Amino acid sequence: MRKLLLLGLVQVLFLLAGCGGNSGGGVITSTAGNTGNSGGHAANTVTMTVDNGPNGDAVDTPFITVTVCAPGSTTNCQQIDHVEVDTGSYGFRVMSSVLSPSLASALQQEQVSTNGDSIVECTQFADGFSWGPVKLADVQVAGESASNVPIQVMGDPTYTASSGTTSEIPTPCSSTGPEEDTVAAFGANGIIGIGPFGADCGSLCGTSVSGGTNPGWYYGCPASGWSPTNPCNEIAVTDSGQVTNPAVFFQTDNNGVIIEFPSAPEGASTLTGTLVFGIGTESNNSLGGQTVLTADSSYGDINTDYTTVNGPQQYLPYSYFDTGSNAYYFSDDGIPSLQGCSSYKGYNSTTPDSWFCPASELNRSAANTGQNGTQSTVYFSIGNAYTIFNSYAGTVFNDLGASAGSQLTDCASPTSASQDQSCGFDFGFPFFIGRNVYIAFAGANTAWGNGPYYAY
Amino acid sequence: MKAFGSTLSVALALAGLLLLGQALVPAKAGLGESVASVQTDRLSLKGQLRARPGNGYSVQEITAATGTVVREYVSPAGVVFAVRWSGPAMPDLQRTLGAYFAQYQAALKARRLAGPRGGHNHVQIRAPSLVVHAGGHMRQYSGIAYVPSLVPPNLSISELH
Repeated sequence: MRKLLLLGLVQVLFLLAGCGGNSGGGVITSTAGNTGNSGGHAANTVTMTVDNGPNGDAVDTPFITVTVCAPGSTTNCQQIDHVEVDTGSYGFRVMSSVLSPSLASALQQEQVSTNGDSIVECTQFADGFSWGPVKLADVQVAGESASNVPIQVMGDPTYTASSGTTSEIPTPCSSTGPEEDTVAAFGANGIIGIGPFGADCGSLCGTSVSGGTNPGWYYGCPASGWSPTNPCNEIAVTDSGQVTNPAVFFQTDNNGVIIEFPSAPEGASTLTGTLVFGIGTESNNSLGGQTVLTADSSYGDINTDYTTVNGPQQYLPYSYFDTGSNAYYFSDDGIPSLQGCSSYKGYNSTTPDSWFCPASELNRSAANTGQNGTQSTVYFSIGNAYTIFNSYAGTVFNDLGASAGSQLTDCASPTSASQDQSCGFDFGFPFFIGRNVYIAFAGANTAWGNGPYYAY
Repeated sequence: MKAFGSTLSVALALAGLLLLGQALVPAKAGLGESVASVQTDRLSLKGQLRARPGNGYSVQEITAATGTVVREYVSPAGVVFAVRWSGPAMPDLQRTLGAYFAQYQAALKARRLAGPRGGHNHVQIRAPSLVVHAGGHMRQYSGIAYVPSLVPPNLSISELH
């Protein structure tokens, strides 16, 4: 109970900060039916905060607060703060360790219909995996809500039994990288993936397991009595059972999102922005002068032509906009990185970062083109990450960049680039500072066309 | 910094040990291992194997039924010196990185403690004997891993198709 109140107080502070001191809000307890007028916010918006996160080490990472309720309940609810906002993933995931026992036990376990096994997911991130059951919950963000949303409870001990050296986590899952099932390992209390797709895996996870087309994200685990001879088994789960971007389930305002951040001074300790649900559905979410770049329907990517510092052009048809990346990630052999930064304080010679460290601030540009042929050039700056971190104690940086590896020959011509998914430019969080970026969901209808598209 | 010779001999010794292991039990395959291991990969990934020559190296390309492609780059000495992957699912990195998987795990954990963090969509590892760049987003993952000391001389990693 004390924990709920504490979170409620924190929520009030965020609201007051975000609304410039408008004191219309009170302490939020149960948020069921919250029309969102407290604090002066529209019902379809929620405050995003960039701060150093629950581990105190995050940079350029936006967080929101999400309310989770047991299905059908208006009282068994909990506000989860420091949920990372990630436009590069799909679905809401919360760390088991932050859920109150009464809420955790009341979430509804998704089950395999034939044998009652619990559906457990091995979520694949580029840097590791998260293992945990798929549960149904009522999810609320600001005044938007959806019932019976499949979410993932990461690191639920019910499904991480072990016997000797054999873990309940199947080897094909743990083979994708290190486990990220604690707040310390994950860097947040949860993550909300609001990228351009709904279901996290898509149609491949609905295909038969024996045919080899199934990437193996979903498993059926014994509800109890796991043992090495009674293990979790790969299963097929169609879109409707997969962990899904909650925004697609909102009754209205469900066709996309807008990420809005004002400009920020370099090295600010926090930055407040607004996450808006819906495109063209309310008075606060129409496109203004933004340019619409449609994305490809399989990956949600657009095309970027980037001229490197040394001159050669990189063709990057697998480019995207990702609040879940804390920097501009791209290849440019003309910008020092890795061992080229070894003279700077903070360089770790054992496990070096790949931050860029130009001697002076670089002004760069990237020419983006949508599938619709519409073009838009992005101007951005890349600073020396090491001197930046040594100069500022804050968490918000406009010019953080990191190398995605050496420039690939494949990306030197459009034809070979189209065959190589490494040919991509990741416009990470710094891109979103000082912009309103619209992301229309795949298959959704908006007044400016069908998703998936980006507009900025 | 280890001398090139001693690092190479460690890698070869590792490869040798694993080859021996292959005779006795199904071996892990992948980075740093001999080309015979590529068949094991293909079978485990239920994929199509396509071999093609490169410029001073050869490529074994395995396309899994999921659409994920893993390319293993083999030196004239018959050792996998680099791997690349791309597709809608992460590959089995334990198999793909072979003996280097443990180092990869350790390096990622060390990175986590080392400094500013954010997000889960990128990996940049440069340990003394292993370089890994991985990234992408859900439904589209790609990456490269290589052992600098095993790369054939005069070959640039950026050339690998």
